[in-house]
Amino acid sequence: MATPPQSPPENADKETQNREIPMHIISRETQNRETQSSETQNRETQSSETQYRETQNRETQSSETQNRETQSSETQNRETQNKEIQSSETQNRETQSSETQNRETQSSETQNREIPMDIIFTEILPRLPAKSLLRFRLVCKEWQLFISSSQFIINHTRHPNYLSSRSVLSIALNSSLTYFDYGDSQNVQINNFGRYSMTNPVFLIGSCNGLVLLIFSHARNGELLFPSDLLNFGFEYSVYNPVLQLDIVIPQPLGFVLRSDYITAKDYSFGFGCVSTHDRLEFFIVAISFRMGNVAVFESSTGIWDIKTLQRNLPIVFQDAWYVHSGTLVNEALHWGVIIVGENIKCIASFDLVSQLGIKFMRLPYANFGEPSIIRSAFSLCRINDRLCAWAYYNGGHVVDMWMLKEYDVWESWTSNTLQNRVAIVTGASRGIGRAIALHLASLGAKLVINYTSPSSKPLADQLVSQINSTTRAIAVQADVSDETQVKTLFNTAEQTFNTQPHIVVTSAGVIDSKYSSIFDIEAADFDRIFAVNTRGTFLCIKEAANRVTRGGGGRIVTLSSSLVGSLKEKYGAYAASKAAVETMTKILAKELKGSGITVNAVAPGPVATEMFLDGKSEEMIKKVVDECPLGRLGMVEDVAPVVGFLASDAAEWVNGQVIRVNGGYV
Amino acid sequence: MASTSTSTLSRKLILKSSDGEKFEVDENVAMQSQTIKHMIEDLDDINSPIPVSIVTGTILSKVIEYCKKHATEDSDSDEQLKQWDKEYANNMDLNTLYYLLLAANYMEIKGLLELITQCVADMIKGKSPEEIRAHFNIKNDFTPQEEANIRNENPWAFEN
Repeated sequence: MATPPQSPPENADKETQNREIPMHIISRETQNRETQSSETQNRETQSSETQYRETQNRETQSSETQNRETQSSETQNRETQNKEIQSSETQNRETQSSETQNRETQSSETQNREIPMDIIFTEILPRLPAKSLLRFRLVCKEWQLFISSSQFIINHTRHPNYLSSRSVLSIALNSSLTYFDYGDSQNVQINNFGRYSMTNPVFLIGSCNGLVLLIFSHARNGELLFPSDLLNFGFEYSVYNPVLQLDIVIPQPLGFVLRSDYITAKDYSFGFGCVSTHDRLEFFIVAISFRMGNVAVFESSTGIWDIKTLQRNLPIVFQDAWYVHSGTLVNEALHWGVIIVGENIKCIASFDLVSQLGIKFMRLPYANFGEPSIIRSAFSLCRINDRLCAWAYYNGGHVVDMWMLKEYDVWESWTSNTLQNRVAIVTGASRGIGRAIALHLASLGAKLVINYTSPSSKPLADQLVSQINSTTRAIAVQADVSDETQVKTLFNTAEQTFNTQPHIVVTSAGVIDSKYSSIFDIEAADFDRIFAVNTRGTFLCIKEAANRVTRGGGGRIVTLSSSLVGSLKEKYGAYAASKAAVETMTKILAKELKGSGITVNAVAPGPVATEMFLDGKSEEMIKKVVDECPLGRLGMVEDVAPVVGFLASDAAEWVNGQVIRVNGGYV
Repeated sequence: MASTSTSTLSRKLILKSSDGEKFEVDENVAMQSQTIKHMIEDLDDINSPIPVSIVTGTILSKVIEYCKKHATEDSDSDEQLKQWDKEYANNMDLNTLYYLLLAANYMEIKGLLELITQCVADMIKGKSPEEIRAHFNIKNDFTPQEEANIRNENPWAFEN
């Protein structure tokens, strides 16, 4: 298979038969190829840095004419190389490097508007995807030889490759391999590599640099029903080149203890990756088990498995079973989503392919990333543009939260952190809309002060805090918003904890009259209670906020009103009036804070399915509400939170003194 | 750029295009061209115009536009710079692109060469062998039988 990097034309026919094509390692012989080709190069006494130029000047160049000292003259020479010169017997570089002659040749060439062939070969072709290159072998014999040369193949691997960075590989039940290539265009190309295995089940572990790692089971046809049963049978790895449809078979690691019951199937994982060193590309297969406490690494250059002991019985389990997600390759390290058992901490475990020094842990965008009710598969990792991403479902799959690591190993820099390092106080945040707002602001990167009023809400608030993060990013503070001293204490605690003035204050503490009394029969005590929390509570909080929120940009006060102020429904008289007062204060405070850079807005939700809303309502009442809404449903807390998130962001700077109704359009 | 001392930063060089047009540029702008860097290292008198022999005035002004943008390091983030590069390349017609490629290669401006070659690569990656031959003025030297053999080796590469 090995081809001399420099192919004399008389060998052309032989070359064609060899069918070299530009993909990377290819068959069992591949590991020898690099050695072989370097031997070949030595035989022909060529220095490695000059190799691609050989192709243009195949015939008579000796290495002396191509050493580094001549490079500046060579650059000029490159201009002059067209095909005629290339096929001419000898290029006398000394003569050509005389400036005058060069200039003449070059200017006439410029008029021809041709790109010198060596620029095409050394600069343009390596940037093309393999599919184009296979096709371009048909351009002419010279192109065919060049594209098929080992030197070009190696050169091509060094360039960003479509298959490694911008594609998705999938494997269907019938073991057919498909890849989706995003490329730079808007159109997603879907290519089928064809049916691959007829009899044995095949599993896809991963792909890098144009190669795919598959697992073949030794099970007989039909015996292997579930991927988790794989270890009941023998298996082997296959490093597959889908373009050539050739593979290298690698046996499973001996001595890497794998047990074969259903539970342990989830306690190991695999990964496939490569590392580029100065002169070659090294491929790695990794099998890892935290339960067994060991990791087996197969290195393509040595061709053997090396088994390392991590630490017995590490209290770690994978987020996903291996057949759902294998290791994600970023920065020459494999990454798995894991849970540290007992402490119930979700995080990322990474194994560096270069140093191979045990497992390191990285933090997620925030603790308890992903739906808390799901223990396994709460989140997954992936790679986009060579960056590590973590994503998770929320709300039963209706919301996908995805974060991308901006800088490797700096956990604060997961993106979409528009409120990074800002402190937000959310009143009445232990449940309902306030809770959703707190979660949303946290997801945007803000540090949270979770206020709750009644001591009975403490467990809820504490749970929310732990969901958002450890104590550095969220705290729960009990305070009755209708009590001036307690409101001051709330703000003091916030400042002392985070050592900064608050940036965002959201007043979502509120109560409703669950008896739904008309104004003519409401108890005065109930009226007082509603106004105490909704109106006075908001007043005390925004008064404090106006004096304490950071000035000079980024300061945000968001009050919670109600769409009832607009729809003016019967039996909500006291509640709607308490919120009308909030709207009025909001608009006036916005003007009074002139020059402070603080914006003050109100968000006025319509009916939202919260405890407070559902309290004391019959099914019939709820149905009536749903019927009134043009969108035909109750609002969800997640419908409201993003609006607050927007108002809290820098993008909303120009929205000030406004009431934003969020109600599906019923009023 | 960062390594040039403050005194050299303010130095001006005059570049002269193949059609005689002269451009006065800051030294740190011009030094992005390895070719010019080597030339002025050998030059005693930097006040005389430096000939950029194969590059016309129109093209040279585009090259300088690129070098200027990339000489000011702090003003833009990497992403903004990438965006700028993209727009810069997208605004070129094919002819200009080819001339720029030659100029970048001759003047040894690595970033510009990479930008343009990637642009050309993106343009040609979807083309057929016939289109490539026409595009680069290459003669087909395969027999029909040889051609058929190559096609049959990887038929999928020839599907759209």
